[in-house]
Amino acid sequence: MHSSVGMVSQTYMTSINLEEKFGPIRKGLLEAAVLKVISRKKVYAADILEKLKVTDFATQEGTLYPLLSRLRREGAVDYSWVESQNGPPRKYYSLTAKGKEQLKTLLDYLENINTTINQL
Amino acid sequence: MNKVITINLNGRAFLLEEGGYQNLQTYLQEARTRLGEDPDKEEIITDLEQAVAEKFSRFLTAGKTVVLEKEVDEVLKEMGPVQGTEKTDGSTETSTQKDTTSPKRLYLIREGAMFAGVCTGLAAYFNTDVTLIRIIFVLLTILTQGVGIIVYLIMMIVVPKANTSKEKAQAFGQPFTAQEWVDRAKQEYHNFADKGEWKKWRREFKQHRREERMKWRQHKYEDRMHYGYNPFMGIIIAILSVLWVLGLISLISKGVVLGFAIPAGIPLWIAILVWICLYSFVVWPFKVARWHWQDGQSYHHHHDGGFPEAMAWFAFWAILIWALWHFVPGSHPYFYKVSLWWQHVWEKIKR
Repeated sequence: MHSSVGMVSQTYMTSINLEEKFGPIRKGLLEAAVLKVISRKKVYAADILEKLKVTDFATQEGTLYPLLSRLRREGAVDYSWVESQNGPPRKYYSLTAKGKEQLKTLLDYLENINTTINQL
Repeated sequence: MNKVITINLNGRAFLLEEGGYQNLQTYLQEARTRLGEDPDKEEIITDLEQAVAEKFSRFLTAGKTVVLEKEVDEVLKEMGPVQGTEKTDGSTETSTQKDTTSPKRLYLIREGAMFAGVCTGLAAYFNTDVTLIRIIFVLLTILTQGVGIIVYLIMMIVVPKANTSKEKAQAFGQPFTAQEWVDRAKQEYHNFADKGEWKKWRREFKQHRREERMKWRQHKYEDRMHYGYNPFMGIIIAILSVLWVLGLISLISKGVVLGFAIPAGIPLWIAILVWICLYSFVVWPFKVARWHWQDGQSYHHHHDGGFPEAMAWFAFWAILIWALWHFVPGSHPYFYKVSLWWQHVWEKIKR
């Protein structure tokens, strides 16, 4: 999973080190990316990782679980237990009303930055 | 043949190779530390355990029921280090911050220690090889006629033991300030001056010794099972210890050892101390080599250095003796004395 991060940035890397310049920004945007994935439908943590794996937001359990826990504490996401055929029941995450609002704010802000940069 | 440990991850049983089990244990321990004061710490840990369990399942089939060490490592690599959550109510961030940049501290490290773990602790602190530190200590002791040993003894008392994994991590962490040194010394002094502490310390020490002994017994048994045991090294150690006891008797009764008389002004107890240290230095490489002579690959399973380190010690002794012989002509009579003493002992053994 880690190697895919390297691969993605490798292809984008030209003369400047994108990882160095945008690493912190990407890290900050991870929350928006996770909220976006959850907004589509109820998902299991492994599904979120699978979805992000092929993108610049590829991440690992070690990062995702504490993030999900914080989002739940802040009231942006909630989970319900769903029975699984192989193993114990799984947590399926969904967005709360507050989470939807938060996601919209984040996406609007991103849009804004994009527009600003394009207009410069 | 490897030992297997059964674990319970979120209600499911898994069989792990011993090394893998230890690595998983370390990972979860690390996760706990990094999550610090996170209010949902236990829940996150449970989630992580379940994720690990699901990843383990892919390595298991009807015919393969054990998760190998390298498979555990692969899974843990996929999981990635646990990140303390940022920009939350502040408490978690500061605690993770504190843990990742915790100051480097000097500790006694028992793993791989020869005596009390001063050298292993120093090696961790300065991020160098233990053997190098030990050689420096030996040279220091020789050049300063014994000050090295006194420095060692003081450090043995003043420097704390690394017990928890956090302390062990700190032993390799970032340097700490002079002020902390002073505080620590004061703290240690107060702890020791306080009688209750002293009793507690003694109780802990006894308990620790019991555990160590049991662990050692078990390890010894396992080592015989798994690794090459070299009886030749055992014989050398036995001979050396007999010689050592003979030397000790002669030291106490006549004040003479290896043909040397104790120099005037040096009390008997210091001579005995030096004699004890000398024994440990000489015997240690044989002890290490005893288990790993035939199996160079397995030494890294053990904390006591292993075959290459034993070789380094033999080489060091050889060079030291050679250097003495070549550059210090004054030492020649001592070599003759030692060989005379050896002949004397040999005669005794034959009779």
